[in-house]
Amino acid sequence: MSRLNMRQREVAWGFLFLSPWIIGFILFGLVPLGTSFYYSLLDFSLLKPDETQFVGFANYQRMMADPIVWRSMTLTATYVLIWTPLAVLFPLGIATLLHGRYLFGKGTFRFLFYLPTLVPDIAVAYIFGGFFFGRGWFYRLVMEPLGISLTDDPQLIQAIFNTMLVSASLWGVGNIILILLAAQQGVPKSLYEAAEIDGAGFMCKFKSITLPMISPVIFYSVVISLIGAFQFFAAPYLAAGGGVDPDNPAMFFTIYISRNLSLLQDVGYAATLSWLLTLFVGTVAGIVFWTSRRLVFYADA
Amino acid sequence: MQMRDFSLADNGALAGRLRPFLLTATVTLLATVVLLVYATPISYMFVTSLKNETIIGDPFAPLFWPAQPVGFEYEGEEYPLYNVPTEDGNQQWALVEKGRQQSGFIDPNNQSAGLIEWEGRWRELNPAWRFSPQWTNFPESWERLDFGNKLVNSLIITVVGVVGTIVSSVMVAYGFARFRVPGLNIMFALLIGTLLLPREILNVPLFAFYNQIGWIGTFWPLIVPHFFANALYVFLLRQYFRTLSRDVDEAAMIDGASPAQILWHLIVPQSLPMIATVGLLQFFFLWRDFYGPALYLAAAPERQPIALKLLSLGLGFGFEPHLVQAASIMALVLPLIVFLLTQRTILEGVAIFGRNSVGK
Repeated sequence: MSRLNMRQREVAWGFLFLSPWIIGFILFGLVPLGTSFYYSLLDFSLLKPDETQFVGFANYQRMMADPIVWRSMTLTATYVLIWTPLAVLFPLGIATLLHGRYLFGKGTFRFLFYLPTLVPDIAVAYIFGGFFFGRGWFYRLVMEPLGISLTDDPQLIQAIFNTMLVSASLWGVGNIILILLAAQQGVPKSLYEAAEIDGAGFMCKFKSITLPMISPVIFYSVVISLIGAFQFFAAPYLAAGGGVDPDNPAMFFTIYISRNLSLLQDVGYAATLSWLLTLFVGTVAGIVFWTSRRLVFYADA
Repeated sequence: MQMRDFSLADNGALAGRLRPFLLTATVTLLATVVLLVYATPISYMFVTSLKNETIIGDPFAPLFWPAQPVGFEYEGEEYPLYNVPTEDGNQQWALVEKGRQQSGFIDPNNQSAGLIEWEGRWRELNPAWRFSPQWTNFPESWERLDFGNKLVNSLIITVVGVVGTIVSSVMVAYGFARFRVPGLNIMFALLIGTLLLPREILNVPLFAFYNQIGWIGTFWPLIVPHFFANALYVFLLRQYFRTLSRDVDEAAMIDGASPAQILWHLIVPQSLPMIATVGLLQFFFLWRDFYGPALYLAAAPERQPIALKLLSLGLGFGFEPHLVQAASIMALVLPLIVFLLTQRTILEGVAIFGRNSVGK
């Protein structure tokens, strides 16, 4: 009798503590998800809510035929492909530098490498926009020394633009640096000492001990960076002028959704577009999780 | 023979002392180079914030430091100084009479010599520049952006958001870590699953809903959702709570303490670095976030946080960069101070997470 009561009490308390998440999951998760699908079947604009109509899969047909969808999806996919590896390898390199026993002034370096992460997203966009703009800093520091002259060549302009977007996003990786640094500090010293006795050098130790031991954290970083890459927003928003002109070169998929949602107030089509994004993220995440089963090493398992 | 042995030993000792020094020098140099490349745009931010608009637009002005042309007053009028190549080397002279093939200059150090005729095109001369930071950009930018008001908005959105995140996430993480509730594993999988949902799919219907209840243009859509737990932080906190010993909990339970009391008096005090880290990371995230404010506050200038208000200085690049960069620096001050004061705690919290994740 009293055992059963204790068990019931535990369940009641458990649900009480879980309740913020359960309520939030329903209100800000399940309900919007369902509603979003329902909206994707409607011709629904906030500008003329009285004329809302059920149109079946017409929005999906419109999406398939929309050239901007494919252009912006390609842009987003390219960015994800280029950026995700960079967003893990760069912090991994920095973390390894910061972890090494031979770095002088560790605290200062750690602080300075984290500093850019504190800058507001839109300020980062302005800083990199200004840095790469015309015959400015980037031209004088990088292009001129390399002998590249500034021309109206659209390919060159696009290349500068892409460099700007990718390097701007590298400013947000401070947390990944800290986590990868902490993970390296968590690897038992005894493993390295054993390897040193066998005469292992730095690269050998890094490849055979550090990488496998911190692979769960690397996996975590890949997932976080991947999701971040799909949601890349501030810099393209600024470069695309808020998405007003649909033909601009910074029309990432998130910008296109935001254009349809807050600018054109076309909720039905925005919902349809967001389903395509979700499907895409889900597929890529699935592939990453599937490959990780072979690549991630769990010491206790 | 013995001599040679000695010298060998000496060499070895020297190499032994030299090697760590050389390695330290190499690694530190490498880190410095990487940092310089990584952080150059920060110098751009500082330098640009101290220039004025004319200088930014002048292609001949120095790029890497805040410069102003040097003027010289001669007979009641201001004339620009130029670097003039002469037989006595480079001279800084004031250009008084402009001519096509020859011009009249005044030597500021020798005014009594009067007008000096110089053969050559003055347009090909370099103006003289002096170091002159425009500190007034900061008050001007402050006023243009109504910065005080935006600062208050940023503080409301971040502080309330952080409090909501901490309270709800700690509760939920405790629930996931300590209670055997039916369906716990499914719920945990769903929690992790929400991490992968792009925010767009949830924000489209939420936007329509907030629009209906009149929340667009208010703080509510940016504040309320934080009180319903953040999946990432629940995950981090739950991992940590699970490493805490249950013995004390159970002893307290037998003494009649309720789970709420155990959370407040036992779990929270043991987890302060971790909870503080979660709060601080969320603080930095909300302070820099642009997406939420851009979606919900675009049409409400008086409620915008700094992270969005900066946009009013011009969509697209190249408009009034000096004011934009001055504002960026001002927007960076608060998180910078907070980070400097709390660095140790954050590193401790992140280190716990790192250790818990390695091999677990």
